[in-house]
Amino acid sequence: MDPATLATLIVGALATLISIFAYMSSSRATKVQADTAARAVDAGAYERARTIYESSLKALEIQVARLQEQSERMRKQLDTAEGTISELRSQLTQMQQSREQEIRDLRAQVSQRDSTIAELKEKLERKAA
Amino acid sequence: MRTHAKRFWYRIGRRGCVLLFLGLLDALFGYSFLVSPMLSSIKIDYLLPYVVWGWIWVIAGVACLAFCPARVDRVAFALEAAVMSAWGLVSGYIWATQHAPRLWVSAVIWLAFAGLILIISSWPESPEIHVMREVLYRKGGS
Repeated sequence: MDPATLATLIVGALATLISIFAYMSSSRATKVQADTAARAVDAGAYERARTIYESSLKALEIQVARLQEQSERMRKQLDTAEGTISELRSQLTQMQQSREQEIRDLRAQVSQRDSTIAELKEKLERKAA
Repeated sequence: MRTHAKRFWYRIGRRGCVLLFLGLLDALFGYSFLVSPMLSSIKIDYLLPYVVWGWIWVIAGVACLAFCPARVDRVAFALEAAVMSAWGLVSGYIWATQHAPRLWVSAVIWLAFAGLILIISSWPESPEIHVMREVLYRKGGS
């Protein structure tokens, strides 16, 4: 074989070999960069999820604070209502007691009148006799 | 202007920048083969005709320029490594067989370039540039 042709073949073979090597390492680098980017995207998704979770947690905290405030306000209203009820109850008791006293007085008056009437009847019968 | 520059940077990335540089180098080097006559008066056997080498360099340069904004650039790197190593080996062959005492320097330079391309081809793009490039491709923007 002609030495120039042999050299051409050797140069061609070596260049092809180097080219294949470059192709393979470039493919590997592309794969690595895709994996790294996927990891970066995953990290981004985690960050976004964390932000959403934190914002919903904050919203829940605000809601809980509002509910606590509402419950405090209702407790105060309930206390006021209980005060009013006990006042009304005491008024009712007082009214009942005064009514009972009135009834007792009236009964006493009635019995006094009954006895007066009986005495007068007796006096009348004695005069008639 | 700054936004355009940034977008261009994200579009081509670091690997694309290397390909852009190599593409310009190859195209101009090949062009010099096509337009200039051989400087040496001694007949040198380049294993392939001088003009063919010129076209090989120009094609490699155009391929590098075409692949610099591409997401998958392995073909350009492979072609570039092949052309540069072949030229380095040819220079070495000429130095060894055709009494060109200074040509080993050319062989060393071009083979070193081929080695550098092998190293750079194995470097992954930075995740930031990769993600931004994907975003630009999905948006279809310039």
